[in-house]
Amino acid sequence: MGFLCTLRLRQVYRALRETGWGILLVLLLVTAGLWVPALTRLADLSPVLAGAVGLVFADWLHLGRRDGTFLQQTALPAWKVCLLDTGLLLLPGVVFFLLSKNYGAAAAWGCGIAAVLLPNGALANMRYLAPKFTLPGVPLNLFEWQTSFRGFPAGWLLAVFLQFGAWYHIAFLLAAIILGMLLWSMAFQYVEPIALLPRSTRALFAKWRQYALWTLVFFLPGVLLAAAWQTDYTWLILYAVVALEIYLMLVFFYKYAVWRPGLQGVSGNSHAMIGLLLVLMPGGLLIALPMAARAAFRARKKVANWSS
Amino acid sequence: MLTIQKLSYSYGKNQVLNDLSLKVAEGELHGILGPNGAGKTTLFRLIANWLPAPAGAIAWQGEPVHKRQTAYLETAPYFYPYLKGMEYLRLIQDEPNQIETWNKLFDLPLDDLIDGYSTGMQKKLAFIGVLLQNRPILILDEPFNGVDLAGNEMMMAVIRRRRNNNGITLISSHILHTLTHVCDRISLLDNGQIAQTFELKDFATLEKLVREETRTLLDKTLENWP
Repeated sequence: MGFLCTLRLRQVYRALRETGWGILLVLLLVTAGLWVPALTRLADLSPVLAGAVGLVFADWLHLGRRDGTFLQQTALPAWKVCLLDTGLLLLPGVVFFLLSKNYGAAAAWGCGIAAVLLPNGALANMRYLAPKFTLPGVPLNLFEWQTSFRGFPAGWLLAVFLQFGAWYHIAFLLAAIILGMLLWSMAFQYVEPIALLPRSTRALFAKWRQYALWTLVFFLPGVLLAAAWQTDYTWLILYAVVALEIYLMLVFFYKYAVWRPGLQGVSGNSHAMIGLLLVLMPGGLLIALPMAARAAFRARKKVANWSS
Repeated sequence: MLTIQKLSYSYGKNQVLNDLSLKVAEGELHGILGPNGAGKTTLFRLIANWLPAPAGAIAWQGEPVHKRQTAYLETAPYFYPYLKGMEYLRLIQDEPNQIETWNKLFDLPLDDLIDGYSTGMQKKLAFIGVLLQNRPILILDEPFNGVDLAGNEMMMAVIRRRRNNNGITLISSHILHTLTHVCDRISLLDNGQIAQTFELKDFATLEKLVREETRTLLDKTLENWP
């Protein structure tokens, strides 16, 4: 287990190194205005809330594991691997609450480790592999949406319901759009079978336009409600829609930019998470937009190569 | 001996395996041949105990097969991100000397990150992984896909050496001659059942049968082609 623990730390180090120490440092400094007050408030979180958030966080990580088939083969028992991984991921939170002297929250957050009592990644993997049905009304080439609807139906339903709260408060629309971004980042982790890959740059951009349009259609009820009832926030509504579309562009093209034969999923979600942070923070769109454009350029080049 | 009796499996209403029975003796290299979607991978997953068998029995030397008795090379093996080849293999079996020995055959850059490996290199790495497990039932699902010529020859040679072993090896491939070069018997999977099993002496007949079927289909389809 000591070896596995060292490996996990090495993986984190390599992922951070690949993202770039420079960009991480800049992000840390630029976003200090966001995370310093957030951490100060988080330090006083009630144990009940800390426990709930810890459990949801650990569940999300645990059920999202895709190493089910590999775990069947290791000499180590699968439950020990899951226990160690979940423990390591929860540890920074525990240490943070301990340093904040919020011992109740530290204990409650640590209880998230109970998530390993749920079926491990093997089931999540099988669920992804087994069903062969397509969802009525969703075009087959929108593979990511098909898998996302199947994998996280509750998330999409919640995004629909949240939109209808927009007549009451603008926060509901913003929450729905942020949830939509999170769902997109998860959906674009999946790599479609080769037969479904866009075979030309024209097909690639057509697929992106389809997604851009579907995204607008999906959030249209919320946007219309907010436009009608929250007239003080017209610019904010517009900004949120633009941010959503730029984020979609970023995760969409990034997948094809890093595509290679045999790739099962876009691993290491640091790109998607940094992108999310950028589109959410004031002025961040100015960085996210060139990032998305660069991903589009790389994807276009890659598709042009494999179609020639 | 591996004994499979009246095995059935379905995904919803789609019946993939239907009362399938098969026997494989110790030391045997057994090929499974079948069209896409015939149920080869499902059969392998059931033997490896990765899927629960709702109907039928799978036994190794008279006892139900345990997960720890099987080593399964998937068509597309899973690799953790940001891991080096050596680290991956040590996770499977922490025996650096054995790893080095096996790697002398395939010459993989084990100190490099797996993310940078080609498809063939990843396949070879996963192949070493299943060999390291040293289990009696070795299941190889499309092991030769994406592997270069030298790698393919080496893999075939390693598989052939397993005849001296007390275990069994099950191999699937879409390339018939890789199976006829390696296997002792080949079973044809069709409509969820073993349609026919060919002995070593019948492999020429099998190859002829496949060639003739292809030619018939080609002639029929392109009958009116200018």
